[in-house]
Amino acid sequence: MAQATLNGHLVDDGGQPCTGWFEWGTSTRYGNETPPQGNIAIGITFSTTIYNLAEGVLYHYRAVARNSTDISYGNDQVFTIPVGSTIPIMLDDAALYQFLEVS
Amino acid sequence: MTGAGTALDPYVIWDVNDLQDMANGAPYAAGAYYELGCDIDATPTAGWNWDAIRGVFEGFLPRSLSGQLDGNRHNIDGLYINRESAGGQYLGLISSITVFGVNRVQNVRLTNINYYGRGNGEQSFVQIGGVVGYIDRGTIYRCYVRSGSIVARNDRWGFPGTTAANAGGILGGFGDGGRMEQCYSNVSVEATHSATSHSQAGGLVAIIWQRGDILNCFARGPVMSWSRTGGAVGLIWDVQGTVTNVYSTGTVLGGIAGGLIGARELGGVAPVNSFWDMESSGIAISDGGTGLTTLQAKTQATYTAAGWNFVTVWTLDWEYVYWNDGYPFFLDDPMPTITVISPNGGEVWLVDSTYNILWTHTGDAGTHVQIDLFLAGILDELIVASTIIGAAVGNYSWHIDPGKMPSQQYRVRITSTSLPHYSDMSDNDFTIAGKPSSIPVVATLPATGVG
Repeated sequence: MAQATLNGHLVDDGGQPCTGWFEWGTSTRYGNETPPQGNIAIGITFSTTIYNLAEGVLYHYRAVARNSTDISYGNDQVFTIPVGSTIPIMLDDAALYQFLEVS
Repeated sequence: MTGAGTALDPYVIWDVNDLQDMANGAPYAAGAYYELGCDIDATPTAGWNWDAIRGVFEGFLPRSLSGQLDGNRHNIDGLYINRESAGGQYLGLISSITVFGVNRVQNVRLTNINYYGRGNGEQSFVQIGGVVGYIDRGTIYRCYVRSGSIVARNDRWGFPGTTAANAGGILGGFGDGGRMEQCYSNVSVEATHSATSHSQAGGLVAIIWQRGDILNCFARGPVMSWSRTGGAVGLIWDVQGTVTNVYSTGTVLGGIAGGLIGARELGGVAPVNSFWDMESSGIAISDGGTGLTTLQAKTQATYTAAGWNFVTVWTLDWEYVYWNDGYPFFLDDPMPTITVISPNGGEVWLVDSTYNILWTHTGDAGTHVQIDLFLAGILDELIVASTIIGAAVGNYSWHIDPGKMPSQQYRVRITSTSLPHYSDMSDNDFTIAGKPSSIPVVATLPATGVG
């Protein structure tokens, strides 16, 4: 089975410690969450690897961050792992740094 | 007046009455040291000493000086003199410096002077200067007569220099010595005499009678007399006067007129390294000196080639060609500057918040400034059209609009409203940011994967 490393970027922590994770799935309803990572830092990419993915299937994911008062969702991203790939590849480079502020 | 009149504790002149007291002498000793403690409003002199016969106020009554007057770069504004005599009279802020003593006048600035003197007797003469009427010894140093007019008239026959009408922007005349250094005038000067050959007028001095040295001076005002008339010196008489590193630009009208020097007689020595602007003066001849085009007269190389000191004495507004109209001026009297202190780059200011925009200024940069905001080099907002320039540090409290677009590329520019050439912009960009909230912001980045 295939695997993928999801990346997120904290733009603003709202002045408080933040926790970050990812939601992912085969639609924008996602359905899966990665384990939260504590104390993610502004300007530093945080990442999580997910496993047991099917080759040739379209997956959606988005970054999530929260502090003690609110939660923020990154923009939706998609990737498909090509059948038979054996080295890590950039799955989608179409939407670098689409910052999103959630109110 | 305070002080003791000594070099270490001079009498301090605080107002125009003190100024007249200095001129009156008593109770202040001859040979005393005086200084200005502040700018002096001398406009009340226009209402002093009513002359019922002539139906005019005679104004300030100048007297001789044998000590020192240090203006401390303060300004005397509106000094008024209107005097008539059947004998001789020397008129100016100081009438004459003729007896042995310290004999020094320095760092005095005068604006809006209004001097008139008339001789009406058989032995009458009148000699008027913006600072001193007549000098035999001593020094006039760094005195600037910035604006106003000087008029000398004489209705009796006489000889030049003794029974004449002489008027000069700084000095009426040198007698047997004295020195003028780093002075300038920008006043209108006029001298007329019923015997046309006996009036002299010069932008700096009417006459160098026997000796007298002028070094590093300039004159900008118009000069007129019926006889010897020069943009800087009306008449150089005898062989011991020197004129060095002097220029003039004012219009010259006279019976014997010269752009820089009206006439040299009895062996009067030619000026050295000195110039006049032939275009602005309207005259292409001079009894000494070198005529320049206006462009040449506003070019530093013209003067440095002649050995003028542009390191410690002279400077020139080459950038704007504005201050002193682009002609050389003194480093001691620099052009105005405005300098932005804050925001000057690197600051992070938040919308819907209030900050102090700060600046400093030097010189006479006007009374008010305009403040503009630039975004990425393009005018973005007029912050305020006019706010007071302030004292040592100017301050404008600016509330940033809540809807201001956040950016890291803002700068402010502060400009004198009356002298718009004098402005300054933040040296580097500063940031206007949205107010921080408690809401985190996160972005999703591309993933990497492997089959």
